[in-house]
Amino acid sequence: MAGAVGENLERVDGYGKVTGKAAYTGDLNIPGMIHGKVLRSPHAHARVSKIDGSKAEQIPGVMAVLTRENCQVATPYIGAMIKDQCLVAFDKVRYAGDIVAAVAATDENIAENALDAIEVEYEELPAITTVEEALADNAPLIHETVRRARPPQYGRGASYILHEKSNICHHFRYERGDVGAGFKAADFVFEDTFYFPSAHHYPMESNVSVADFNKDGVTIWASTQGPFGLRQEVARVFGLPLSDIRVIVPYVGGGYGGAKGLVPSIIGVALSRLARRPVRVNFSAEENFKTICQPRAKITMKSGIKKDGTFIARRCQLFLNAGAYVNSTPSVAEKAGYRGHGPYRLPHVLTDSYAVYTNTVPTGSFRGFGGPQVAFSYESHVDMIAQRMKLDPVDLRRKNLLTKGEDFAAGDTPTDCDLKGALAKVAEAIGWGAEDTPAKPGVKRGKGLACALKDGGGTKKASHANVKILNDGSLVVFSGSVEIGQGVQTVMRQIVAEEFAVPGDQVRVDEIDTRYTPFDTATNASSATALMGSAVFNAAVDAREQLLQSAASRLGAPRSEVKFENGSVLCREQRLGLSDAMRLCFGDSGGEIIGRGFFQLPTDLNVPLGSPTPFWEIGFGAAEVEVDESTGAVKVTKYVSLTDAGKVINPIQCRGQDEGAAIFGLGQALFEDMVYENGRLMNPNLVDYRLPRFRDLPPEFKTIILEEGGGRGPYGVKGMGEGGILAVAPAICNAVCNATGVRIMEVPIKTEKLLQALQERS
Amino acid sequence: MSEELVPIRFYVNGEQHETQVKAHDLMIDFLRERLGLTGTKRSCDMEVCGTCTVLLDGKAVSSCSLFAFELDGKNLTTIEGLEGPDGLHPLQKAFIRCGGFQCGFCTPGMILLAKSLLMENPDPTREQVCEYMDANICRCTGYQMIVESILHAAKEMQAANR
Amino acid sequence: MITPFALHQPRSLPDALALLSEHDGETKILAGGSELLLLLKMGLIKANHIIDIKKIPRLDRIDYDPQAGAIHIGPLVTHRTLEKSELVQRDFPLLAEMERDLANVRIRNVGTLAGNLCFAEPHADPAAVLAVYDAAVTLQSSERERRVAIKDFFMDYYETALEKNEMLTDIDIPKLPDNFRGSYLRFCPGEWPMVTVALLTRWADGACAEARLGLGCVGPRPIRVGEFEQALRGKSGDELAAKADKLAGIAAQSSDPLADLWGSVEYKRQIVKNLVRDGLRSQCDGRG
Repeated sequence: MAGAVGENLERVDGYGKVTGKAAYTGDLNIPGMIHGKVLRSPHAHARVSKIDGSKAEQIPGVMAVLTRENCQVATPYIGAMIKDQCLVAFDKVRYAGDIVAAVAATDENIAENALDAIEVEYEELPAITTVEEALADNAPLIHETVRRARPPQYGRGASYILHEKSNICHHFRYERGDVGAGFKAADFVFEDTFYFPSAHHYPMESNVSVADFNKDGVTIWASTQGPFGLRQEVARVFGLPLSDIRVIVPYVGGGYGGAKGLVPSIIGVALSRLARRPVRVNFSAEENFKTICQPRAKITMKSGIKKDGTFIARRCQLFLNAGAYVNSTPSVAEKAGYRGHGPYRLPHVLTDSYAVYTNTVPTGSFRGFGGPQVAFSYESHVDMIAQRMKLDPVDLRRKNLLTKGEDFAAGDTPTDCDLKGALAKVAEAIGWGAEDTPAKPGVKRGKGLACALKDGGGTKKASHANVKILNDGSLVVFSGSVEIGQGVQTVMRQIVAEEFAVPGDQVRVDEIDTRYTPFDTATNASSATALMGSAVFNAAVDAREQLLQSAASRLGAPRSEVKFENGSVLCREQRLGLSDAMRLCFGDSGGEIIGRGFFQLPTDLNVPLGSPTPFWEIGFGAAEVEVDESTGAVKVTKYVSLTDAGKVINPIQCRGQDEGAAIFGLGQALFEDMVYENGRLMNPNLVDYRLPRFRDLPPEFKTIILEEGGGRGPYGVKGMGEGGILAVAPAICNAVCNATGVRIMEVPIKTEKLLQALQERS
Repeated sequence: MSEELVPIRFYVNGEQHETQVKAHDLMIDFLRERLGLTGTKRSCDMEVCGTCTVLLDGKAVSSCSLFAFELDGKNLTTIEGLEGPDGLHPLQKAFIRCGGFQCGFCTPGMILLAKSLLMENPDPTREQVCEYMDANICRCTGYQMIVESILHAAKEMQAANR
Repeated sequence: MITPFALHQPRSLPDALALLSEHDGETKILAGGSELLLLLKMGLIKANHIIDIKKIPRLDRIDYDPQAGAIHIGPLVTHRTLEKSELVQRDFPLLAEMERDLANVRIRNVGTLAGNLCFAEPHADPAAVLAVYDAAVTLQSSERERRVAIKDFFMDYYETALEKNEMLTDIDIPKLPDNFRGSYLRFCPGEWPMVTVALLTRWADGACAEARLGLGCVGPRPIRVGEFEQALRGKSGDELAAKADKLAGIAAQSSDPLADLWGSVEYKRQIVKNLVRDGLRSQCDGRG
């Protein structure tokens, strides 16, 4: 039946999005709404010695000017693990683009022009833009005090190391076995260092929110992946109870982990309080670039191997350039470190992963969450090992890949899919080992592949959900998972439709409003289908159970004689449809049942990260590339992406997420990089920052989505959406090496460098 | 500089409008704020991404980089104009059926660009679709399912015309 | 944010030119507006007066003058019109090919060739092609009309021979004899081309009778590489194909690119060399 799990149920948001009727935050017209603009520092590092907004306040149409002088906050600091960013600069500005003040006015032009009237005096300080500079002796401290929350609770093998009076804001270590002994026992030891860019998420929809601070509390309409986290931050900053704050999330035009909505909302709330009007803060494309990005990475992999190709020991060192304010980057450092040894059997591992402050654009989570950085490194490293030892790259991987059920890390969830089988599939799909058709003159062609995985589903994320049965048998799902394009609303609809055996359009997925929507940690980590899906599933089961109990009572039967089957309540010979059963219990038009569901994995200090990994999200890929010998340009002519969904609930959505993730990865492999000069971001626009386009779509492009079951979610579902990005950069670079003999150690591939390398070889 | 008003008369989605705009008003802001047609979205603001695409006399143009007064005497189609009394346009149906959208923000512009393609070339090859649609950016789908949506719509539209 | 301006919509060319003379401070012509609006929005230029020329009849003409053997392109002709014009595709194929590759279809629908030339954006496609065609532009003011060869029209980055009170009213391109072959090559790793190469050769009796090489985006103005053009004369296709790399080196040396996000000066010169070499080899194919 349509609406069943495994079917392509029409998307809940389909009609709205293809007709333009779907409302995004920037489309909302809140009565009385005025407009906020922010003033940004031109300096990468400076003390703010004086700030005076009084002239701006005099301008007709200006309704509020926000500076550190009139903030009226319980605390000005926002952030995740580390509260390091003030809503407007208090003591210093720490990157070119840092916010020093804000204006709310009756129209955008007035607000924009009023910024020029704010007087700011800066005392410039030496600026640091690289990790090397930040770690040098006597490097200036970017944050004199680091406001850390209590350090995370790590388990077996994992630890947190505090660095005082340092620009290192987070240091995660993972250790097992004895790498020293491992290297001694190895026949070969290889060490390679890799570089991964700072990419910007560039969602098509900008960072935008509308905030209304009035006598009833605070209402925020925000484009955000984390409405409850946002509520928490607003409560903390403004010293308000959570119950006074309401976050409403319209459709979100792309997230990819970019902490959208947070900065505009905090500024908007502060302005709204001063202006006593709702305030919309909508960042321009350039401002979005200057708000958040992925941390640039330098990763050293050192491996000890036996001469038969068995991996024994791995030492990883990761340095993440965390920018001026770090959001989730400490967690990215932790996850990247944890994933740093890849899907391989390695008895001895030592990984140190550092997040380091610099005076550049703030960083945070980005699709893949550290996964792409380490996958690029370890999968390039493995290919280099194969080349040095004259081993076939597929054989070398097959020899060392974990078997299903084997531990990735002792204490954690065992691997839950067939990695060797997956490797065979991508190799076959790309035609590995087959005779290559000759490339045309001036072009070199080659193939490469990569195997990667990440712990999927986040760590100890909590998901609550409600499912309501209404009197006429229609159903409503209350789930805090944000529709950012992945199709999560439709998945929740499908789960409930499946559990009640009703058509999809009998199930409504309600909009997100933290006043009514049950708590969810955030929409991230490829977690919604498995975790929130479990909560929704549990809520559906709970609602059904309440109905059965109520029906049993009404029918005078013991509970054991009532059951739910094929969408009906069965009691002895009686069969009641949902609406009839509800009316039996509540009368012709009254009453409702609210089923509640919850899912969260427990703390377990036997697990390195303190709580079991919900599932393993794999990202295997194989690429065929053509390298233009005249320009050094790389074209991907064939790409195969493979991931394991556990169970495919909506095939089109799964395919879309994997293909989208792969092309996202293509961007980092070939084009995307935030470029700085003297601390200033040089390319905060789409002319100078290149995104993947239709022309980059590989002529042959396919995804393989496995359903190996065994996932934590209902029906054995796992999660997906990030796997696709992991293998792209290493598969492409391995293919470039196969084609030309040139080994790429840094992405994005610079055509100039590649051309130079090609010419040196010829 | 006085903000003089420019009278304009034009059609939007088949409906005639007569009004005045300030000379420096941009078409996209006029559409979204004055006419309430918020289906047209702004993204890069420099004609690179095509999110703001509308059809002006059937031609795909960037509404973020045109003055509102350019509407005078013209026939504008926005995404709101595609659904007819008989229902969704074949392109809209195809984008739903074939997964041509995810977050949906680029979708109005993408569908309109596709419409202009099919008006010019009702039976395009995959390569021709990619070459033409290269004008617009999508960050979610990875493009392949958009191509399939357009090819599907083209087939449906051709079948309907027989 | 664009600051307010006075909008003028003249209905005749003399009226437009009179307005240009009258308001000589911060006055801009609006045709398609692609380049103009970008610069206005970014605050890089300011306009107190904008003269919209789209209500003036006949400015969107493409006329072929058989006597002069040249095409006349009016200032309102869009890139898309040139791309799709049967006349241009048949008789000026290099121009049609260049227009097809330019920017994207939305910009081509609105942007005009004239507007592109007047802004003299150094990373633009048309300049090299117009240079090898030996095109010329007509510049008109209320006082005078003058015809300027394209090589004299571009003066520096963002700077042309256009005077404050002048408007570009015509682009004329002589039709080349049928025995000319052309190649348009470009390398565009980002949004705007890094290097453009327009190469025309004419062959007679198995030898190259004439060559024209235009380089764009690699200097303040488009470059015609006279030394390269001379070196090809009288040589056979085989000889030229064998020396293509060396000859292309001449072109590379003549270029004067600026380093930027996309590459260093040396790299861009290398691209010039490789594209010219590839273009030359393909033109020598099958020419004995």
